[in-house]
Amino acid sequence: MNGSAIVAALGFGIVTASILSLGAVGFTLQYGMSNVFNLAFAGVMAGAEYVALAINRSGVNIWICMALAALFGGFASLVLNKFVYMPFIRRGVKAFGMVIITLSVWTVIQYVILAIVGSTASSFRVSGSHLYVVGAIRLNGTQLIVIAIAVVLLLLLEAFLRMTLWGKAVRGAAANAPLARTSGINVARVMDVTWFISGVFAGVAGVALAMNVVSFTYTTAGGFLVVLVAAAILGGVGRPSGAMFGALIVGLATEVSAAIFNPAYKDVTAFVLLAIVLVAKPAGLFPEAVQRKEVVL
Amino acid sequence: MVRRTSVRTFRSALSISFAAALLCGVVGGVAGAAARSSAKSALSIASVQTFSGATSSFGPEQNAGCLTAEAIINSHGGVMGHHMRCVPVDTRSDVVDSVPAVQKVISTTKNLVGAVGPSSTTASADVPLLNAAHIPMFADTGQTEFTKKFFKYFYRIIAADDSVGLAYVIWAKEQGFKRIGLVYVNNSSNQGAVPGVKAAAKALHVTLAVDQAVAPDQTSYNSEVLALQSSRAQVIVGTMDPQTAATYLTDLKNLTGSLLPYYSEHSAAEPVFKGALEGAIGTTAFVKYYRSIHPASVVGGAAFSLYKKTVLGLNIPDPKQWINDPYAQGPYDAVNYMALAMLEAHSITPTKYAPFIVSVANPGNGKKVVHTFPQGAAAIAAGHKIRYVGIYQGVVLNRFHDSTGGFAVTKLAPPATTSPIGAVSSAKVASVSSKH
Repeated sequence: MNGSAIVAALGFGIVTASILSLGAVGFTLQYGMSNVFNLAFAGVMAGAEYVALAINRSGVNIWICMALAALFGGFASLVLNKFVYMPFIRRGVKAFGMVIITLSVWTVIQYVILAIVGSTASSFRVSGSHLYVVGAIRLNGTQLIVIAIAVVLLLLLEAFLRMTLWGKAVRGAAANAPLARTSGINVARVMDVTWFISGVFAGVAGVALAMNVVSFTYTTAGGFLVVLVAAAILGGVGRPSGAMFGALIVGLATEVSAAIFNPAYKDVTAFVLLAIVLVAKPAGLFPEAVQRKEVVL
Repeated sequence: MVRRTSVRTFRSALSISFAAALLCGVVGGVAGAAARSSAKSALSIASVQTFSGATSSFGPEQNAGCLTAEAIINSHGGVMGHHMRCVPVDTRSDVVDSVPAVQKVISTTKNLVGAVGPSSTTASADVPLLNAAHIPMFADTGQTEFTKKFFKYFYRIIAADDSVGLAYVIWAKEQGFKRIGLVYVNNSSNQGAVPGVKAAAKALHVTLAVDQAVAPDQTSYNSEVLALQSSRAQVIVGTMDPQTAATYLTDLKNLTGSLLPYYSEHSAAEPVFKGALEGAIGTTAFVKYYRSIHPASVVGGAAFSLYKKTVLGLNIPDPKQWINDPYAQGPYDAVNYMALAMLEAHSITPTKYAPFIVSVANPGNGKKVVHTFPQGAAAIAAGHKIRYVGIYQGVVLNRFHDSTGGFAVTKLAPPATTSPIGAVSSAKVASVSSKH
């Protein structure tokens, strides 16, 4: 295997990492705030894909479709938490029970989508994309835009969390909800905002994924969830910046391993890496200060 | 006292008479019901296939063939007075779901006399179950494990995967290609053709430029595509699921600016595969570059004409998509083989009619060749031994109840059917097979 193939793989890895980081950050935001390990996250991604598709088929530019799908993702995520998960949490369902509930919700969403759109693959109408070659790295215009969107959204999120009052409230409520509540923070409102933002990330990730795989079905997002969760755990679940870093490692590792070893095992590379990291650092690369035990009401 | 006695005697007599009448009525009713049931009960054919999940298009595809045979058989009086009915059994592409589903259909379905399917994703688990229950099945799997492992009730008229691999390379060489890129998904459904491709490449002195097993449903295959490009492969052969193929070919197009011819066994008109590839590379490129290499079936003649006419009359979504679909035609022939074997055996009992399937399928002296169920039923009624030659050509079942006929090479004829462009004969496949 020559060096240029590895350099090229690094470029492809950044594209994969960009999509992965959008999803992993959204996933970890939800967990960081609520302690809900929301496997139905893939359902929101899949729903956003088909919302974007419906709009795209009426001739609307794909990037506008992505923005509208992001809004859909935000509202879907908000509704999911407020009207589906919270009633269970109020009734005392614990963290493990919530995992099963989210899995059930994901299954229901998947079959609802199947009933509506069928199993046939769909594709977005994307205008022709120029190939940019810099040395051994070859990326097309769509991939570059996806990378740019990921970078901008992740920077905006970091700025929101660190520089705004709402961001501080989110971090405070995530660290200790009862204490935040006694400090005057409206935790319920903060939770709504967090789930909305995480849904926006799910929507963007879903559409970016569907664009990258070109031809997608109702199962595409579900297949991506496993790697996405791996990236979130690798970075230290609950930490958005950790999820970004985890996604970068997983994305680069899978593509570079495909260039060096047998590409059939590129997913295996990601999970071997995850296992090695977790042996050394059981809470991930960037563990939280707070030890999480139960879901947050 | 006497009166009381006589009253008691009267009551006893009345009770006995009533009980006897009731018993007669009940027994008579049951017997009558049984007789009626025997005269009218339908024979069930389990259509064991994936109706949901990743390969959910396989179910409607197989069922279309089953329903077509069902309609023809029933409109000609059924089998010995019994109507046929196809019972969909959803394996969901996963043995975890298929095993209970198959067990359920075996234990709860009345008059289950046969099966079409299962497909490769679940065949290893489902075939032994159906075999143990003495249910003759025409499996929709090319897995080579069934090539030399005998299951008494297992039959296969689609090609074994290793033969498909041979056919890919034979066709590639005939098209003038000298460097082949073998690309396939690394799961049991998609790598059966690999040994055949390797063997044929060696036997025909064609260079295997790259042997690439890829993980399914990845976000991209850019690194794999660069490896393919650097291998200077001229054609891609191998089986990939629709999403993987779509992503792979799009990456190939984006990175290299062009596509390579691609051969696999997916029908070009199979809705999920066609939808994925057309969406990814466009209809024009799909027609130009994709070739389906699948079991040879006829277009025209009595078998095809009746099939076509009947399938178009079915009350199913978009029936015309199944007209030239080999994976709908195969199950159609399968149900006909079973129904005609029942007629030859004069029995609907699976253990009794199953041995007659080979007799109905294979050539023999004095046999009358028939192409449809009505022709076969009439010939059997007239006292002839028959050989059914349906839409699939060259079916001869060997001692493993396995048949490798020739292959047809087809491309998409937009919008939703296929057109033939060539063939790989069974003689060529056998010739190459004997060299390795």
